[in-house]
Amino acid sequence: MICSLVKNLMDLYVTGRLAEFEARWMKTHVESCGRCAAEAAAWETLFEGLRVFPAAPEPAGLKAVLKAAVSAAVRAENAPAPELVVDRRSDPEPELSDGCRRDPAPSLVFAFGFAVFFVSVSMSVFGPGVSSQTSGESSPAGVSQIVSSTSVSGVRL
Amino acid sequence: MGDIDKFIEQYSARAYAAAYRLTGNEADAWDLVQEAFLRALEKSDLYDPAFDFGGWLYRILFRVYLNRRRAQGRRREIPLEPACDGDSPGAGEPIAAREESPPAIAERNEAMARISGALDRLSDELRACIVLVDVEGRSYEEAAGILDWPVGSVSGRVFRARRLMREMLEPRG
Repeated sequence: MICSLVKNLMDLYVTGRLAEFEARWMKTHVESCGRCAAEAAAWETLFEGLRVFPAAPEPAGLKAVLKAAVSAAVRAENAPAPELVVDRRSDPEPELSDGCRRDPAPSLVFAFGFAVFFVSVSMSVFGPGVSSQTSGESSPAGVSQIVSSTSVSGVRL
Repeated sequence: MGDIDKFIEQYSARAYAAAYRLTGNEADAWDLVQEAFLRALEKSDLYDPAFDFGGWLYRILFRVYLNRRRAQGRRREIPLEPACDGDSPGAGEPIAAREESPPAIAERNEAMARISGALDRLSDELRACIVLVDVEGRSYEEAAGILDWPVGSVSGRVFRARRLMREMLEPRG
């Protein structure tokens, strides 16, 4: 149990990040325990290897490439952006090929929309109109069927 | 920032070394350094000349690295075996030590290759932390400043990264 506790603290012990009394306690245990001493040695090897891990040398031509890339970026940043120039004097209100104006007036659009709305509401309220309702000549077949069925059940309308 | 050429002369080697440690190969390190310098140029209005340009560039480099990796959504290629074939940083770069015997040099190079392989197999965030803290010897606070993370996040990742590396370097069998 002590060994597992020591093992958890080993990297902190090796890197000297433990408090003094903890470090003393660890040192005492490591000196008396072969397994923990081997663990400490393995951690020291790892940290030593990381400390002396070699840096890759800068490749030849890197500076030149970086300078070229930076110069290109600066040139691109300073170049004037292409502008869209529309000459309104020659064609104040350009038209499409079918003769319609590109920008119809908002009032026309509103009037058209209102007309469509009015027609659709009228159709739904009044309907297309039934000619038999105004002539009053003969009752439709459906009405006579209803009358005959109620006569059979004894109710006189 | 008219001194960018001067900064390239001064800091490109250091930036490349860090980029190589992070990416693990020359092509990606080259791209990373270039993007970091371009980003520095782009954000030059945020740079305060009272501070060290190298430190600022370093922060940009690490952030570009982490953002790129996050955006790409991929991990580095993981070798099936610990890298001993010279593809990793440090591998194949014999450390000349005049006072060491050839077997000692060979043993040392092998240890470097194993450490390099273990670093390669860490996730990007763990690798960034361990490079800053254990390879470059920075404090947790400095690493947190560079990565723009809380100190607790850095120390937690360093803790995990060390244990993972220790497991990877455990002798097999």
